[in-house]
Amino acid sequence: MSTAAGVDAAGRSRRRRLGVYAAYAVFTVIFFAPVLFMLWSSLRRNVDITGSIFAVTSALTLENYTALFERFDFGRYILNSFVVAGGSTLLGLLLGVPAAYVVVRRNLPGLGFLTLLARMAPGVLFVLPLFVLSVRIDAPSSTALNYALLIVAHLIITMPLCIWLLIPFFEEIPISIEESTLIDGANAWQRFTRIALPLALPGLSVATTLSFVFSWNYFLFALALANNETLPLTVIAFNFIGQGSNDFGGLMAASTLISAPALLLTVFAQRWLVRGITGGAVK
Amino acid sequence: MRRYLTAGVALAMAGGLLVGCGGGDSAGASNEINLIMSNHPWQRAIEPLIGDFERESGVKVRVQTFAEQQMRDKVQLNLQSRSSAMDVFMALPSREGPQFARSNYYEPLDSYVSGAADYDVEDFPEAVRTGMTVDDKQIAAPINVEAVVLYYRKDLFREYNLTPPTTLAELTSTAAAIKDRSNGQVTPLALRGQSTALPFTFGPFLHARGVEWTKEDKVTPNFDDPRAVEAIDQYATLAREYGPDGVVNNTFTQSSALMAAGNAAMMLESSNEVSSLTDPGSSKVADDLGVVSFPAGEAGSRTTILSWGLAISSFSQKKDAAWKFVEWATGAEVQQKLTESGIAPPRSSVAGSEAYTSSLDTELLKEWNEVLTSAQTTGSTEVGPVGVAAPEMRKIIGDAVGLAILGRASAAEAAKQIQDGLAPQLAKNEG
Amino acid sequence: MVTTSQSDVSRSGQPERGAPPPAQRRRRRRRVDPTARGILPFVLPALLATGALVLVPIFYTLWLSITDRRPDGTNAGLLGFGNYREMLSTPEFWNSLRVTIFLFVVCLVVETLLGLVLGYVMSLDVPGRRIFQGMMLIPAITASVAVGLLWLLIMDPTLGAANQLLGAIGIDPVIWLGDPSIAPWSIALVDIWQWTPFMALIISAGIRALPEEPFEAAAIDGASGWRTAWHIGLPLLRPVLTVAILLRTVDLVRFFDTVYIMTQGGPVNATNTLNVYGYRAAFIDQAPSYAAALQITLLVLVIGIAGLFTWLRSREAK
Repeated sequence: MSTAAGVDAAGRSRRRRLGVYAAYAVFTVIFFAPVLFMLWSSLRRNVDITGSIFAVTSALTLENYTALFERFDFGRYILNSFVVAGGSTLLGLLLGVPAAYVVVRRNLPGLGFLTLLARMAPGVLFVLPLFVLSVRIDAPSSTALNYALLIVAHLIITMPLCIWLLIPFFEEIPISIEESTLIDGANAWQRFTRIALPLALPGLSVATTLSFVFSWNYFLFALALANNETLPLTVIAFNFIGQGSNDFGGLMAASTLISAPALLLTVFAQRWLVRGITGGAVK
Repeated sequence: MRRYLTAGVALAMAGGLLVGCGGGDSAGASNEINLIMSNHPWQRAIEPLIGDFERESGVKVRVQTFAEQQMRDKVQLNLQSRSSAMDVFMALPSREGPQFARSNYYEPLDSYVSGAADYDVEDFPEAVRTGMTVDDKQIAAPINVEAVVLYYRKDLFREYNLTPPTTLAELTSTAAAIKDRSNGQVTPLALRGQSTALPFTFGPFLHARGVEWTKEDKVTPNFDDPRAVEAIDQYATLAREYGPDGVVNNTFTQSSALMAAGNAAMMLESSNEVSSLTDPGSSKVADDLGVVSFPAGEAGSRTTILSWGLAISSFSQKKDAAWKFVEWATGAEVQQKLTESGIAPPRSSVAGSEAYTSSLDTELLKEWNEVLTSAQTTGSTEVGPVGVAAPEMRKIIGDAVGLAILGRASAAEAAKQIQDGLAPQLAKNEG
Repeated sequence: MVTTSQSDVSRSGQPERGAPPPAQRRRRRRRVDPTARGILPFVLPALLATGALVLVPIFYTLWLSITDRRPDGTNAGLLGFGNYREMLSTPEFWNSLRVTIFLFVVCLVVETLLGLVLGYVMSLDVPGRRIFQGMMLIPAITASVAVGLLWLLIMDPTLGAANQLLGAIGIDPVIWLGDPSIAPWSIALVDIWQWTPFMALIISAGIRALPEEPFEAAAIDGASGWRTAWHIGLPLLRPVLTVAILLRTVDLVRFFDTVYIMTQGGPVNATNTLNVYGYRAAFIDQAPSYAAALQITLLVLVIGIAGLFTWLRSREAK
């Protein structure tokens, strides 16, 4: 769909460019303005948040943020989110990457589908069995066990994600490259670790990022399984509205902090992310 | 393969252990109890005091706090799976009492209460104690009292030359006057419309007319009574004509926010909301508020009064330590301290004490206390029809009244819908 | 992003990628197969995890759904299809199915159409494209808790930003979440806001990967831009579109987060999706076995619809 060359090509391309930027502006208002509104609200006082949105000159304050760390053990919740999302991402990669490789090389779509089941079942379905398990192993009273259980539970989110995201990347590695190592007498495992894995590195970074974000965002399992020492950010966000307290500023500050890692990741890893998300679709 | 499995598991464990040690907790000690609370004024007031209890008793309390809905989810998970991981929880017996009692979720407190010399359970007014009793067993210990009260804006009432309504008829006419005199700029009355939350504020309209939720037999709903239709009609009219936009999605959160933002002239809500309304950090009207009793009908002013309680899970394995905590938290000394954070004390000795009454240093708090005190003798503890299907029954009532508010059903049709809907739910009480 | 079987199909559609034709490739692949001994270390951990974390809960729930588990934890034994029969005779089940299908259809149609437009815009090469793409990605990766709470504040009928903006241009306030006939649309709006850009991203990558020849040929023939897009662009995009649609479908049929956070199924059950209904049955009405029947029904529905799409796609590819 490239522009054909012509005498007035430069003029046309400038006009077209203007049109594209106009569309950019419209879509930015629709899809990005609410995020900005969240950020702005988190910097306003409660009485202003429920007041007019046209009072753009109303005073800004960091109080909502400082209050988060004073009223709650907020640093701990951030740490918890990192432990659970990070742990489940690592574990998801450890289990998912070799599986994705075999699904591609052995052509085992059935196995791929099996892991997809996790993605299709309603989350509530897992909650009661997981909770029963947590009580059986006495997880609620042990912080270490609690983290371990949360990490394992979040595998339901991260492992299928890692497998699907990596399948297209492994598919792109020509089989001939691996064959050449056969001559050196490398076994399957060596072919995987020495040849396939390094070539799939861009895919690994995508899988890591997205697994982390999705695991970070998921609240249902943590609501059911976490104890006070292991509660992650997402569950805490609910606590700002209750009887006799309407802390919209705190709520928006917490929401902003919850979204922050994902936002930062998009800034830094955007190029890979786009490719990862679209990888399987566009072949 | 084994290498991989062990590596994964070890990694997960290591991550957990690492941070676990940082937290420095002793896992599952025998003198340690788990407490689950809802985000509530009482919870915010008691949390700073728990350290005192831990020092006095040597029992460590692990607290978990959630927003109300999330707390229910968590409590239900623990109870349905017969988990011993929860020892004490904040309970709302008026809502789930019979439902939980039937499943044997509550540890009856009677023997603990009678074994505690200084506890003096008689100090709680009878209405409060009745609210904590199912099948003649005490299932929880009361931690607060709250009642539906009418908040109003003194400045606006002066401006419009109005006096706060004292009868149900005046409530409607006052609302009409506010709408008129403010040219529709001010919402006359903020009230609940969300189906499961609505019975709390709707009940007084019924009770003030001398109608209970059910007939004498406790299994026949009372919504074939013309006075019940009247009550629905008035509530729906108030909400539709004089209530805020989108009222059927509103509960205390939205009503309170409206009032605090200065958009409403009156509000029917729980007495609890006084804490957020008087907080200058979130309320624009902190200095202009007044409180009066729920307006009277033929049967007088009969508001809804309820208490939250502390209950001990029957699956707890540390019931003695759990009772120690409940005894401490609902004893006179602590309740006295809690009043400093604005918690209305359920104990008569505290409510009548000099220390308490003299601490009510603003006109608003004095009015508030008077209203609450009279509510304890005149109010009804039945937030909705009593039964094992209480949550479901409240939803049936709320849905039908909601339809009437929206004008999709007449009051008579709504009453019939409730009558038909409640009957099979109440029948479950028999089985 | 998704799926496995599709790979062969779409590759064989584009043999110019340097891969040998399928038959030849298969033969070659066998030659370099990891041995039977070699394959286990690769998949066994994933299989074990899937078995323990996914299959066990599913079978447990299946078992619950055909027995009569009481809220006190006892189980009164086999019930057969009793819970399912009760489900089919409960009006609320049919309402929740209707709500689920409504949200599924509305969100999918709007997200696809709007996604095509946005996707086209995103595919055009201008300076600043990457920054724009990054901003568009944000709604999809923001935590649903934050998204729900944010929109709850925006959609407050009196204090919210949405009605204040409408009021400024003279439009009467909208009862976003308080009116049973509007609330499902509001919920759909939030989902559309969150996921259209995600859809668009996949579509834009698809557009950029399209071959140029057919379009050049159409331009020589003097076909209009719209005709070219409709008759040539869209058919070529179909494989990409089906993947994007499949991804959204699986999530939309299990619609939960936004409703749980914003309306809990209300007002008057207007947003009570199957998934939310199943949650309510388990946690509010204390009917674990009935809730299990609802969850299994939902799972079957998701697998069915996803399977249908996959089948349609594979048939198309042949």
